[in-house]
Amino acid sequence: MRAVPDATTGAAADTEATNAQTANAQSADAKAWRVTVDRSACLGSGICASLAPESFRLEDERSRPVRETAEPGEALLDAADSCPAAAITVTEGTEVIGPRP
Amino acid sequence: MSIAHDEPTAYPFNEATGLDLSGKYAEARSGEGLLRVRMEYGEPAWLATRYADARLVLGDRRFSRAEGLHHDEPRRGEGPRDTGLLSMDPPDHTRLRTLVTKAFTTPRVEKLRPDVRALAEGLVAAMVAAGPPADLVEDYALPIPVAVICRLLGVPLEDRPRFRRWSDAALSTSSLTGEEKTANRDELRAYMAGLIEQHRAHPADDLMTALIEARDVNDRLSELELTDLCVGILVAGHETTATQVPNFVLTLLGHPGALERLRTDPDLIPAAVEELMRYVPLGAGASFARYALEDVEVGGTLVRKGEAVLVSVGAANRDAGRFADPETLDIGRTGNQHLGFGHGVHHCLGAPLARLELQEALRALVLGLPGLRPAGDIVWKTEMLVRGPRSMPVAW
Repeated sequence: MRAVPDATTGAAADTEATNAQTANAQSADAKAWRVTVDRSACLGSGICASLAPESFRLEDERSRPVRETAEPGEALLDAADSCPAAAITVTEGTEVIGPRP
Repeated sequence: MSIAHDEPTAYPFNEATGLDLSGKYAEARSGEGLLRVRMEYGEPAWLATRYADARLVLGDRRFSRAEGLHHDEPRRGEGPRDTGLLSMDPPDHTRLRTLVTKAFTTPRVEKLRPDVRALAEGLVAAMVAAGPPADLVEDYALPIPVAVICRLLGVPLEDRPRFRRWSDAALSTSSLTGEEKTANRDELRAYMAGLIEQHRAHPADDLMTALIEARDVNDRLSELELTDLCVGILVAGHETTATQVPNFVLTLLGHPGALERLRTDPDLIPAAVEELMRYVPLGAGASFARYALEDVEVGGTLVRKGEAVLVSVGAANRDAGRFADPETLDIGRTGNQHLGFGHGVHHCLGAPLARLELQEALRALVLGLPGLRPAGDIVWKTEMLVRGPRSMPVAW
């Protein structure tokens, strides 16, 4: 069974977030983000995989990032902000940018 | 052979009292495709009962809650159908929900554990001091989550009798007319709007103050959204936990071996809470239908765009395709990824807090009242979205 196919929405969100990031990034593809999930803390709520299926998938009922590095995107930060276990961390270089304070 | 679902089956299946899961769910689970059902109000819907199907519908954004506002949603009674966060889809849903998520994350909530433990132990001590019998609901199950959510949100505890009545009505299914429910909702909103004004004038270290700041400083939500979010947190923040505590105790009293095991090994309490969440079907039936935004195949049925799907979490939690020996209460069960808190973007916002409250409520009771036993007839809530005792006399 395939995950949610919603590439259009994902791409739109990416563009939006990338634009928003231009204040602290030189260009849209300047820096990739790094996404980690603490699988021992993960509760398997399925919120991240539902919000950002292109970035998270549930494996053995726990979340795992699809890729460790990702294009900057609002959906990633939303997923980190929404995690009930605070198990998702998004970093840019050495700076933790998600979950947002 | 696939069945033509011309005549929808009447729904919900469960009795309004007691905690049994109707046998019709086992039939639906083993049947082909999804079952066509009809509730007292609204259009017919598909019913998902298998674990995998439930997760698909709850977790896949091709299914929408917000779309239901444009349809004649399947429902139990009349009255306002906008249920706040639960009637929204991302991104609006995400915008509002992330304002409050942080207050309910596991690490944040864990800091409340010593206070919740002291609260529960204090209530047990008060029951012992007063002597049996006690009402497990009024004297124990309600005061715990009410005190916790009032403190967290910033609602005066002494207002409990007022919001208890409104909260009851907000979760009632058919005992009130639509007009009565609307009037009730407006009263609760007005009460909360008053509290918000007080907090604006006198900010405090609580969630309401933080949400007011999110509105007044950062313009992240409207005034009505602010009010309804606070109302939602207050109602959802105590009613379900207060209902599950007596439900869990009643279930354990029916499984004396499990209860004895908890007494000798209280470290099993977290696993027991997960198993009880799986085993106890809280709802009289599925509610809050999901609408397909495009054609999606679910468990052998092609759900057409615009059709509604009801998800029975209680049935999914007893699916032998996912849980070994699903009809057995096994408090030592591992890998228990039940759907008692839902799944996907609407996964229970307060799940970490509810878990902590349920664990501490059971712990204080199991350790503090070793002779706990029923002491009279249970009065059941009726015509509510959730099932459970309205009063439950106990002795020890």
